[in-house]
Amino acid sequence: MSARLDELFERHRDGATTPTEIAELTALLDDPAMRRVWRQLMTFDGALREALAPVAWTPPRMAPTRPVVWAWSLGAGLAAVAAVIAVALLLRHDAAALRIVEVGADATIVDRAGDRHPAVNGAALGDDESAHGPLTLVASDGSRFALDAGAEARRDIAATLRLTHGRCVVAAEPRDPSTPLTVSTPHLVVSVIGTRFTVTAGDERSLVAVEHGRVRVATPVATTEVGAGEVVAASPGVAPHPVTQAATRWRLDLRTPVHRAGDGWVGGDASDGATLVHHHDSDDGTVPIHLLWTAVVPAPGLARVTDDLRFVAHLSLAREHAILVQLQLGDPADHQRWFANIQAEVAVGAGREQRIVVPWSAFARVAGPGPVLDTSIYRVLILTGGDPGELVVHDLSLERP
Amino acid sequence: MNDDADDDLLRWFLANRAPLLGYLRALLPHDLVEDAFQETFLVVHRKAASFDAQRDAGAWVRGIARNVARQVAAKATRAVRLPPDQLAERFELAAAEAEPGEDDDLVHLASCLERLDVPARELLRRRYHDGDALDELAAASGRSPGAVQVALSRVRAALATCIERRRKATT
Repeated sequence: MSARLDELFERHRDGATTPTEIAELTALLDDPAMRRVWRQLMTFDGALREALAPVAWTPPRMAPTRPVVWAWSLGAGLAAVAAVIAVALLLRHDAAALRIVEVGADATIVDRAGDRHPAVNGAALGDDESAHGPLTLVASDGSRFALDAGAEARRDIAATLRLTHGRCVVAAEPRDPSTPLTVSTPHLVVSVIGTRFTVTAGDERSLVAVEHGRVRVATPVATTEVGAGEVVAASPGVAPHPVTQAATRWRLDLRTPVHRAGDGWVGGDASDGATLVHHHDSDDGTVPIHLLWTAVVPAPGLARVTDDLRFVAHLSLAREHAILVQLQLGDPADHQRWFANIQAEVAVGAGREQRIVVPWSAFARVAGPGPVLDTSIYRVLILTGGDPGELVVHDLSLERP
Repeated sequence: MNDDADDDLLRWFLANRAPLLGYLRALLPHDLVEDAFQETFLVVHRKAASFDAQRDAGAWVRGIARNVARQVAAKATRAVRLPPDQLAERFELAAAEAEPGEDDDLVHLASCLERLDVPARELLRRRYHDGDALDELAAASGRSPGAVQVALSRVRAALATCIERRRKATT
């Protein structure tokens, strides 16, 4: 009987059940034992959906016995792992009235049919309409939502305002705590009872920056409170976490001792937390590589990933060669929770103590299904395929302008 | 309702994501579940103040989820067939009969998934993450839909065995 229920479960999931099978399933589920099996199938379904989503992945082992094999599988083998799920919501419900004011140049309203019209001062934002900044929306209690150019918002039953994209500065009038003002994005809901804050909704994450007062930020993963002067970010599957606005700079000085690769194995943990490995044994068919990786640094890691971050190194190379720079990213709150590896390839000419600067735009995801922006960098890895001759790494750093 | 009760409700929601996702999946096609889940969360958050802490939080949230599922189905750009009420009521009954702590062992699921061989994990990924239908999986693998269904059942059974083994090892 249980096998039949299993079969009907799969057919039901596909929407393929016939009226006869629906009647059969309904009758089967009159039996408490069958309902228990069905419940387990449903729960397993939800659990697998979550477990196979990005955040369920754990970091790969970082200390391989054969670095040459591991390194290349890291670069290529994991590259096929699934991409980030970006959950997009489009809510169209009744909501509190919002009046359009302070209309800037190019501010528009898009109606239900998708037609775009110039925004009109004093007009109400209708159901199924979206407002596109620069303009301000005013709620009936006087709370104001200033949309930047490029920002898009609409009315929403589940929130006072739904910010679908861009930046919005919110000035909330004091309210009864039982009916807080709420702003939702695809990633979070902000509840306030009177304060001023900014919400930014991007494709991968949303940011909440509080100027005065205190707000509550809720996501399907967790909720947190944010006070004046604090900034938190949330992405699909990632709990809201503080964002340090000040640049985080990390630097590893390898000048003493100078790490120099030679033939055969050179390895072991160095006192400064970096390990240099050189493997040059092509007899067994492996590709000779040079590999330098830093230790995994506990949370919050080496630096936060933002799009103004850049990688800087001083290298000496005996001959022109391509260098791969890989940054291993994880949850800012948990260094055991791996999200992704991003990598950039840089051509470095022969020379001593050359300064190479790798901008954020040069990096691309090579492995991992998790988010990239606003994660933490837990390890830096430099990799060369082939034989670059003598390679000296003098220092590494992560910087912001 | 006070803040503690509000927090309790959100905590319930966060702790029961998997059963709720599964419940929604029983009501809706794969591609509409994420939207419905997120919208359910938003409505729960919005209505938390009106929740009576004496009531069953699960039943209350699933009631919202079912309404949201109807709305999501109605707004879909294609015709979406919802389960008949009699059947949906049995899904609700099945979910309501869960014992406390019944799903606690699912914490072992991620590590058990890692122990599966690549084809088995790929099969699960395509079925549960990508939402491929049995027919699509069958066409891609050159097997019959029935054979794919049996394969899925076996992989689930292997996972259940692994989870059970880990549960015993940790108790």
